[in-house]
Amino acid sequence: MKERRAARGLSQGELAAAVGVSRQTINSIEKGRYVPSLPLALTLARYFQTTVEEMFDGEAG
Amino acid sequence: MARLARSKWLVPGACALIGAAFALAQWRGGNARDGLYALLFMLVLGLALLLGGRNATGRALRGDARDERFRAIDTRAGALTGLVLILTLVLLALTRLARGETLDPYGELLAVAAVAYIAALALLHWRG
Repeated sequence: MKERRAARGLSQGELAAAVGVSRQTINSIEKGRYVPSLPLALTLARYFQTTVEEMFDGEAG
Repeated sequence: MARLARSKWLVPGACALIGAAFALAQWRGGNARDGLYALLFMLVLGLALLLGGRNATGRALRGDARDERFRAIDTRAGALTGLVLILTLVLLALTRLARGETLDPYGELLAVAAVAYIAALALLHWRG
């Protein structure tokens, strides 16, 4: 997810604001410390115009 | 996916109400000065929460900016707090028993904890 965010030139705060969570949540997701709920995972996938599987494949801890 | 939208006044307001309740109880008990200190402490705490919302953690503590991750943290923190309280009550109850004293009030408190836990399990299980 970090790579996709960086490719769009977004900060963690900007992405967080776009999907309605805190910057710390985005940070924790990117570092693999927090597994997002299904609704949040779907929101993130839709935001990046991809699928949940492509977004989080191999990242779930 | 939306954040839980609550007023920033909720937790500070609760602090004020709790402080007022303690102040009233202590005033009724003939300890008005300590009641005033309790009220002042809670008002200061509420004010600190109200004014300390410049970062996400401060706002989450205040109650108006809790996303799913913070709610999960809050839930786990509540469970851990409950466990610590129950273990403390058990320890205090055992201490009283070892001294040949009655279980009051720890027996009643442990009974409340047990009933609350069973009721919560049943309710959450029923709700799915």
